[in-house]
Amino acid sequence: MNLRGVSHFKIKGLNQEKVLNKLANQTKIFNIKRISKNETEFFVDFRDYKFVKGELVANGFETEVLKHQGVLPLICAMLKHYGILVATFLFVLAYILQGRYIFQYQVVGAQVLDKNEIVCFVKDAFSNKKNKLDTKEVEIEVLKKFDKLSFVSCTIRGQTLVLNVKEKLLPEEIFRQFCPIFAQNNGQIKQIDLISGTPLVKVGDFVRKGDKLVEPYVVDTSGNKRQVKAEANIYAEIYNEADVEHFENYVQRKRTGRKLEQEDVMLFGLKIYSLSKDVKFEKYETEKSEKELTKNIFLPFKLKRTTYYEIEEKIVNEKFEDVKEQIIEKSKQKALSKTNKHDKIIEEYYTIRHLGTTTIVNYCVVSYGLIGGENVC
Amino acid sequence: MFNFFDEIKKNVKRIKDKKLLGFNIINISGEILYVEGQLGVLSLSKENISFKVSGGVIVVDGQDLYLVEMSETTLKIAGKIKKVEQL
Repeated sequence: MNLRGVSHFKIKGLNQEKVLNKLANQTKIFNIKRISKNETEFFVDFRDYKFVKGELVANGFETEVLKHQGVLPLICAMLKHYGILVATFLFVLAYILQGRYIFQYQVVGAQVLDKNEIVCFVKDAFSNKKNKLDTKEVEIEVLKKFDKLSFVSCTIRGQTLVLNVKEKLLPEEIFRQFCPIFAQNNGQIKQIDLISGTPLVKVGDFVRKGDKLVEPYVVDTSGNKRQVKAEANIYAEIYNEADVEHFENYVQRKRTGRKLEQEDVMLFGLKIYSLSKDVKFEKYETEKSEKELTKNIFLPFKLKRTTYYEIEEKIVNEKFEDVKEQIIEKSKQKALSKTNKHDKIIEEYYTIRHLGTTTIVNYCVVSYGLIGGENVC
Repeated sequence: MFNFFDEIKKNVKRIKDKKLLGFNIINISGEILYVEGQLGVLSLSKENISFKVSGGVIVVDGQDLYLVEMSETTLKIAGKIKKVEQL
């Protein structure tokens, strides 16, 4: 590429030789080509561009500058567009500056420990400048500070400090969290195998879902309550019920297949650009989705897409007797889905209730199995 | 300083002849014509280029002729040069 640069001229007019001779006395002219009787093209040094153009105009020639070639014209053009230059400079400056700092802290793997506690400790104890932060030192200090951790790995990804931690495997008692056992379903207690804790129910009791079955304490000989882990295998006849409603008249909504999409580019929740079309559907339903366009924390552009589906509604008349078997089967499947995999089914029955134009089918599957769930606090 | 044209003039021993100070033309393989001492282009076309020199006019005939470079006193013509004539 020519460093100094050249300007490509095209002139129209009579007696061109005269002006070319005049120009040649002041500067060098290159590649002078006569295109037609009145048209000539030639090149001059870019630094003489203004002078040549002035001379040509002064001599009454129709002048056209086809293009400038070389590095110097490129620099001049860039200098004219100072807005782009300033933006480029600011971008580079911001990029260099933000690249030196940590702006986000992320803790992965902490379940019992509070993540914020770890983040606060790292923020207070260490600098947020990348060049002053030693990840090995962070790992050692975090391990020292939090004795419930067995492993810490620290890495810097972009502007985020990621702490991958692993907690020590400790029995629940250490954390002093004693939780009772609750009933997971409605049912009648049939057998209780108590391991530890105080049972609140006895064989033959009916319990509802959510009732407390075993308390996490025992009363010792002195009459003092001593906390222990509630542990028991409680078997019961479990009532797995399900209702299915049938309406004789109902409005059926169906998609016609026609759809329309609207897209918005968002930045910090503000709409930057929108590609919207008028929704001409009389009745429609929408689905919304959001996608990240850029993966950075400074300019997190997001594409929000809204899809409008045209729907049509029609009133359906359906008598219960016509679909009775299907409704019963549906309610049965619904009730069966509530049973556990290895539960033994003892009995099943259904009831039908008519309320005006509505019919409710209640199906009950009685199964035998564990009713006490996991300890919940 | 070595000058190709002066060396030729010296060689034929007429360097002080004023007639030899007008212009120099060199034709390179009929493709390039280098001119020193031009005093202005008179006509320019693809088939014909003519220019003034001290004591006359030089006419260059050819095909696809164009001026590669033009300065105050020099010319570089390129193209298929058929004839160079002094009038």
